Amino acid sequence: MKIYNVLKILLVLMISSANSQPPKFDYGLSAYKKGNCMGCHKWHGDGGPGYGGAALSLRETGLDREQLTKIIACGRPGTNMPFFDKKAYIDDRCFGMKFSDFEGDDKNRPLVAKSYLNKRQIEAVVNFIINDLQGQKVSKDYCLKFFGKPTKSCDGL
Amino acid sequence: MLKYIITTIFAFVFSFNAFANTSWDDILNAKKAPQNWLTHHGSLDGHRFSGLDDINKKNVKKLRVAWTAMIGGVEGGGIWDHAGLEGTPIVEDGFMYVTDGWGSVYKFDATKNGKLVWKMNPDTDHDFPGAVTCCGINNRGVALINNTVVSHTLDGRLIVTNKETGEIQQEVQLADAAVSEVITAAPLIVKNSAITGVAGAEYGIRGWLHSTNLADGSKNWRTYTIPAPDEPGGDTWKQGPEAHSKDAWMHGGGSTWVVGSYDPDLDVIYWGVGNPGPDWDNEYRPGDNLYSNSVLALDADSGKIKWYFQYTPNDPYDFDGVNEQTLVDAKVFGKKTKAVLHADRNGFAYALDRESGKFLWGTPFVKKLDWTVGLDKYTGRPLDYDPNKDVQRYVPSTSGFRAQPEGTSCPGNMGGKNWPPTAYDPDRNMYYIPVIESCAMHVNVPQEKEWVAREFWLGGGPKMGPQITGSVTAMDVNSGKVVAKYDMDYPQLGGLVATKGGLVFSSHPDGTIVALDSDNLKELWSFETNTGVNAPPITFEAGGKQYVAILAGLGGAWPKWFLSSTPGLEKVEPGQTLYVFGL
Repeated sequence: MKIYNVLKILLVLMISSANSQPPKFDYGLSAYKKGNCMGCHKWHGDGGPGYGGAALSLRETGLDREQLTKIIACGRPGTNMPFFDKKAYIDDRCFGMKFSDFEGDDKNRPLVAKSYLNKRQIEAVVNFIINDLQGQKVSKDYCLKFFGKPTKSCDGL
Repeated sequence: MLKYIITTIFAFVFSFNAFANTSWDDILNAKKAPQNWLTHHGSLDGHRFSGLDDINKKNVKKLRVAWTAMIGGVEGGGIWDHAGLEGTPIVEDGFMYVTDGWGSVYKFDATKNGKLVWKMNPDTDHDFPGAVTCCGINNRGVALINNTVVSHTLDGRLIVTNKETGEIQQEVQLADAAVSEVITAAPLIVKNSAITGVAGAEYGIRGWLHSTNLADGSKNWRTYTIPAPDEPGGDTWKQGPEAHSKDAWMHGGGSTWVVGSYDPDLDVIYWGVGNPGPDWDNEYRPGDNLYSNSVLALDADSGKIKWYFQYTPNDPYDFDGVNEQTLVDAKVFGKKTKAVLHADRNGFAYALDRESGKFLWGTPFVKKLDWTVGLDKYTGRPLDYDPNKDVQRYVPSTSGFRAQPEGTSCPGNMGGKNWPPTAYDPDRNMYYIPVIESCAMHVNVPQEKEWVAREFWLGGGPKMGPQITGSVTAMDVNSGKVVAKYDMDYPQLGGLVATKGGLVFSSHPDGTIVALDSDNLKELWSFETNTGVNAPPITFEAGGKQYVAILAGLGGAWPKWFLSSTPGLEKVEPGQTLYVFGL
């Protein structure tokens, strides 16, 4: 009986220890934050109206890996989605267009992001969108992962 | 011997008073003690004018850094990766009180090159309010009364701190971040009360002003800026196309996030009220949407609204009329008038009779203004305002609406001017305005979804247009005419102070601090901090010497959303430094 109790306590300790592990570092989430993606797509990735404009829901989007990569690198001229590739519109890697093609067109000019993301970071953001957001509902686990620690923002999820 | 004892007692009492007590009389007479910067705007009338003149046009070129201090609290929280500095330092008897974005208060000894006396950290919750503060992790400063320092926190508290020890004596929870109410404004002390404004219109709060009795923390009054249906003005919130818009007033915005002014003779508080929500869908909320985009004149003891003046009824532009109100006893059209001045985000500066609210003049202070053809010279209403319509179109190409989702206006949604404060020079009867010379596109997205706590309540959003620049603009209060402009490559995002020395101190958001000639706005001096400047300068005296102080640290909404209209500002890194300059 005693051994059983000790084993039970050990098991409870192991489970609670596993549950209290801080969320694992996610390079994609880190790049998502660096790029200020949450400024428009929000911390939950569900987008919607905001100061950054009406942002796409990354949870409901049907874009595939290649399309996501392209849009993050090149932005979407004519919308508030900025480009994150430092060389976008300097050469013709983005839709075959350069800055000179937008001269005098304030409505459609490509908007520069707050911070550039390199190729590895863009790939990581795409992985994060596909693995943690796309087709999924906002969960408490995701919320805790985003904020990195317990917060009232995750209550009720 | 007796003389010695009396002198000693007198000196002790005097020094005790000087260090321990900020009386209501001291606050009322702040202008008579220009060595101090005793209230948020320097004086309760909101002038931001200093009577000091040791630093003047002739010698300002010799201005140098006297001392600096690093301010903490740069860390982010919620959706923000860093906090900013938007505070106005308060100075009394050589001691300076400043805040960081998270509401920590620092007391520096300015007579000892900025030696830190104490720091009060209120342990502000970072993530919960940080996830719903619309426009940055900010705190605009403290107020002094008796032996205490009164301040706010982003998570909605009023904090009363012992001025000598830095110990918290009292805290009162006023705002609720669960419904996106946060506090960024400095408090306004009136008698023995603290007046608090709230932020959160972009998340659909119902704005208010709250008066706290500092003796025990109890509520004197709370006045909502958006009336209930059975209150005067309640009929200006009608039902739109969506069934849930019948309750539009409950989420009507009308924030009060910039501190107001007070006239002791009339016993009236003047406070600006922000935009209605949802910001970009005025069809959701037919009617004038009182008291959004208005100035309120409130009885200081009861909070009762005595009169109001609305700048932009049924606003579709996010022309948040919240910023400061400047009370002047000045010549207007040649007649001595008790006026209240206000430079609105809609690009017009206004002078009203502050006893009655009667419109006196309204003049564009921006280079380009196209959302209306002008103001009615008798009422001050936009000429395109149609009293027979519940939904205003103004100049139709300038706003987004359901039949035409996009439109471009000048000024844009960040306004011709934002929260950074104006300055008024009574000697010159001149009103100095920090200007954002801008245009931006407005995109309407019908507010079909019901209000959800802690989600944006915008009905659309802005889209960046042409490059945004800025200026400092001088207006003659007598005529209401623009008389000078100091052009800037970037918008003015920090605010101003004017001095008896014939100077206006200003800043550029990429880190340059400048002194301008009050008569013609020519630049006389500059200093590069090489960080963002989003805070107003002040001037004060310590140890018999005049200084100029300003906080430097990138903050606010600009770095998050508007950088693509100000190329070059993306290179500015966050920093948290207090600069103090002297001759």
